[in-house]
Amino acid sequence: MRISTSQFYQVSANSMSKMQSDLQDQVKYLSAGKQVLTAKDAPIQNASLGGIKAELRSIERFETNIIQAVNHNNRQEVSLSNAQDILIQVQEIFIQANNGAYDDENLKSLSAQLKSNLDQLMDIANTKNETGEYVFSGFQVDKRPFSIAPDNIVTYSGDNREAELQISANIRVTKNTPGDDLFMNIDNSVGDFFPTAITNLTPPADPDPEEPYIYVETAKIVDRQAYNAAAMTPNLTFDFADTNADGVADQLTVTDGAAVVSHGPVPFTAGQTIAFNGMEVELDGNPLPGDTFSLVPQEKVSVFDTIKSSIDWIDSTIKGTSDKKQLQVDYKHVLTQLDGAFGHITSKRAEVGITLNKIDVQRNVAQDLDVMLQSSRGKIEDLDFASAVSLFEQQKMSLQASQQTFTQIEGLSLFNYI
Amino acid sequence: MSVSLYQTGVSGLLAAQQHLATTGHNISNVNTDGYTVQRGEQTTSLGNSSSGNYIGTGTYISDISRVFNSFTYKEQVVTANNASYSERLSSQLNELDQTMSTYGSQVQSSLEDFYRSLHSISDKPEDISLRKMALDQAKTITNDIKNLQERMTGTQKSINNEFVQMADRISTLSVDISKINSQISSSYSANNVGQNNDLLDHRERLLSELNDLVKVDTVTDKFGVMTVMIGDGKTLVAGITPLSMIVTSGDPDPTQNQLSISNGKGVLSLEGSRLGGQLGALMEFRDTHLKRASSEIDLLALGISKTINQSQSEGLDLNELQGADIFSDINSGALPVERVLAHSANNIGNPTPLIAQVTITDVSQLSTDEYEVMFDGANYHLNNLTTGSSNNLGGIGTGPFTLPGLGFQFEENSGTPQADDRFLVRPLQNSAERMNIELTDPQSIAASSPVEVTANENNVSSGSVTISKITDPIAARTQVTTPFPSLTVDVYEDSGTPGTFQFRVFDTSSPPPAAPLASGSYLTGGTATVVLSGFEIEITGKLSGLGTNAREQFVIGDAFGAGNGNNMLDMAATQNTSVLNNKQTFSQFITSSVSVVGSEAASQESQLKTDAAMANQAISRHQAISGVNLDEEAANMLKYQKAYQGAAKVISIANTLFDTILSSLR
Repeated sequence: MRISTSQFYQVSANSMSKMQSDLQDQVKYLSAGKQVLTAKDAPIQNASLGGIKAELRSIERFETNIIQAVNHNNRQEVSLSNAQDILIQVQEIFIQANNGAYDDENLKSLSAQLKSNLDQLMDIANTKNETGEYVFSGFQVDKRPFSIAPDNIVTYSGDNREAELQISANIRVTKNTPGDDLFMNIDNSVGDFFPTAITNLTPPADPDPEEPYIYVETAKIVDRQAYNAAAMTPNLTFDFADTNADGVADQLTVTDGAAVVSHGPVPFTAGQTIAFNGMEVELDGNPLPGDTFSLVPQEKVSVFDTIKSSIDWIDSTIKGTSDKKQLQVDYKHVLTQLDGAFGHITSKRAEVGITLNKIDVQRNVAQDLDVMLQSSRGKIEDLDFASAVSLFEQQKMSLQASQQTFTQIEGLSLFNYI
Repeated sequence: MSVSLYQTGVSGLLAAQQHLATTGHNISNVNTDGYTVQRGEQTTSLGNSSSGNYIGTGTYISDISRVFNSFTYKEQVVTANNASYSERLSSQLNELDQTMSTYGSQVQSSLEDFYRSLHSISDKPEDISLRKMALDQAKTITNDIKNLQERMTGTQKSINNEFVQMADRISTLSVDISKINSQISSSYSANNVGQNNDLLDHRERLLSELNDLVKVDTVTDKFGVMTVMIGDGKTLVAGITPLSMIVTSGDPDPTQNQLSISNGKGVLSLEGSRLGGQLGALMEFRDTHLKRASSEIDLLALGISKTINQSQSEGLDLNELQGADIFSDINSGALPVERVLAHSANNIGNPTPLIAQVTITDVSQLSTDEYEVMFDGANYHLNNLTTGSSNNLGGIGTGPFTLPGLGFQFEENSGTPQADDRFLVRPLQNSAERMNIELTDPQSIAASSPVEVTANENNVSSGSVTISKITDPIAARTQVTTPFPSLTVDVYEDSGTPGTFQFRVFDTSSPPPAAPLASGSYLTGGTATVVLSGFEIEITGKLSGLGTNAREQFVIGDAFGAGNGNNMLDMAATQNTSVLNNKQTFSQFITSSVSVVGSEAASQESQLKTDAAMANQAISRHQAISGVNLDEEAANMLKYQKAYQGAAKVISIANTLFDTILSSLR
């Protein structure tokens, strides 16, 4: 086929310029280290690449949240551990206080120690984090949750909410435990009711001084359906009577707050479980005829109240005004409740530990995912340097060859010879 | 006879001279664009009869003509036009691909930063500096989206400008071609066999420049006058009469300029899709690819604004007020009216033409489709210009008009329409351009949820009461705290009819037998939705309770607090919800937008390779016939030189013969 002169130059110029531009593109890829610079470079895989990058961004985003969540939960853990230590101290002091050999001075110093323990616990409950937010206030992080009155009554002004952080697309973890759940709402160790002091308007003639007062071990609702159906008005008063004048109480009548008889009169023997209207009450000891006490509904007890009760107990012992037998009953209640409080804080601390574990597991999952995603991304996006450099060399050589052949052929002309 | 010999020699000389001149002309024009090699055709002169023999009388050049094959030329024209179309489209798409990839990843990363700042607010909701950072990030997103859209409108403007320049050039070419036509026609004579080759070459050069811009078709009459038609067959040069190309504003969208041919008295519009060449490529790029990319940016802006604003409105800010809009509301200001573009013909004969607007009701149902509303005299009809479907909206005055799954409604503002009035409806119009940050006070970011549900710890079965929707957080808070302290929801399984769960919603302070706020039942596996003031709850699950007197209980209480970041958590979760096109998150939407452009650019690039290769082949074929080869010309030069020398020798011999005869007579 005949080639015109201008066509020859045009074709050579075109091919050289094409090779130069290909070379230039290759330089771009080499200097970026990537083989996908714009969507045009990987039209089919760009969607997957976009998705992979989105996931990698999300892992990075949640890592920040994970760090924050761990910080918050660790801080709680430390506070709760300190609270546990204080409660142990309180228990030890309280046990000491029941030692009959202690005189008033000793008891006063024990009472003072308990007061300082109460203040320490208040401090822990009012702890703030590094940005000045109250840790145990629920959502009300700008309000101090616990305040103490001069008579040692502690009130809670935070709320009951748990704040959450998102640590993965579908997982939220709590970052706090509200103060009322921790310190105010400890299960009543007796059950759902708390007994008032034992009174007796008609005490028998010679009471046995060694015989302790009856002690309410448990008083709880076992069948809410029946209990609610019975609709008794609180408080429930238990009266023990002696029907056969043998000096032993053998009859029990339970009256509710509206003077309606809810149960009985029924025969009663010591040690038997009193069950009626979905409730069960267990007593320890022998009631004397004429003994009366009431059950006040109380499902939760605050730990501060329990410590206050321990301080009050010691103060009553010092004053010596209270009935010694009632004091013993009260002592048992307070000690059991202190135990319950300690157990409660421990279990709450365990919950925080579970949360920390959950976060840890998620963090490991995310890290594994991150490694896999980086490798997938690299397969699509990263440049294979070996093949890219060899392609570059190839293109360079093609360009050189075409330039040299052009010069040589260009020099061939008949006009050189005529 | 020597006299004849003399003539014969001279004729040979003259012929050789003409050949040499032609060869010289070819050599001088070796680099002239579009030059067709010329060759002289040498014909022998008829012999004279002399004593029974015919003696030849030499030669003459019968024709100097171009070596031209109209078939290869036609092929060259067609492939060149395709190649020029492909190349222009490919280069525009490459630029768009660059823009979308670069700016697209910019928007992705600023969106990511914004959502990260939301997470950090959810961790420390009362921290003002974190809130300020979120507002700054929101501003960055707005700027990035606006910048991207500005690139799009900038490209559109420069394409429109280029139309003007190209139309001018085409009009000039038209005038030039018509001048050549008139020159050719006036130099035509029935007796002239020769053609004005260089004029023809010149005309072809003009045609090839025209061909680069627009598809060209030609018809040549026997006088050599060429009629030129462009695009979809409209005449540009009618023999010696040139017409011009003008750019007219689009109707109803004035930025969509159209091209027309004007003949001084009237205007004929050119169909954009059949223009071919660079004009065709630009038109296709502007009206298909650029428009789609630009609409998608608008949809993204709408989606972000609506989603974040909606989330904001469901929570309470640090001042216990309902969260105000962070981004400007998608149905505020001039936007609703700007979405409806009336055809200019609507104003003819109507002193109060209809002004209409479009309000968006559900962003997730929107698409980049364009619509047209047509009034037939009684009813409005909605035509989807992209899918072609058509629906009757309703009669005049019965608006606002909408259809299920549409996502927007068409409303009459003022004025009345006439029959055959048409309106172009673009629900996404200007959304990116008008996107703005309205919120400046960091305290106004609504981090706190207004109310929360707490399950009673005595509940025994699995099930839940959740807050499914918040329409007015302040009303919600009032509802649950008036009277103090909260609302209670209780549920139990009716022992008489197992599988039916009865629920009641009442004020905690006035429980039944006082009348509850709401009550009802639902079946196993179902849910009950209760609408309260400012919010809705959903009750679901096997909440059997222990009986009529021991029901499962849930308390809905005031949850506002400085440490409440639940609304931020919900707003941050929108990053992973399918808000656009009913199935894409923001990130997926941007990625798919960018990917579509990338794949179009890639496929156009490979199309260009094919078209360019075909054009080059056609050129080679044509040049093989019509191009100047210097070596060939050099050889020809020697050939004709020798012929000249030979002819000169003939003359010299004839001269010698004459001298001989003369000297013999002395």
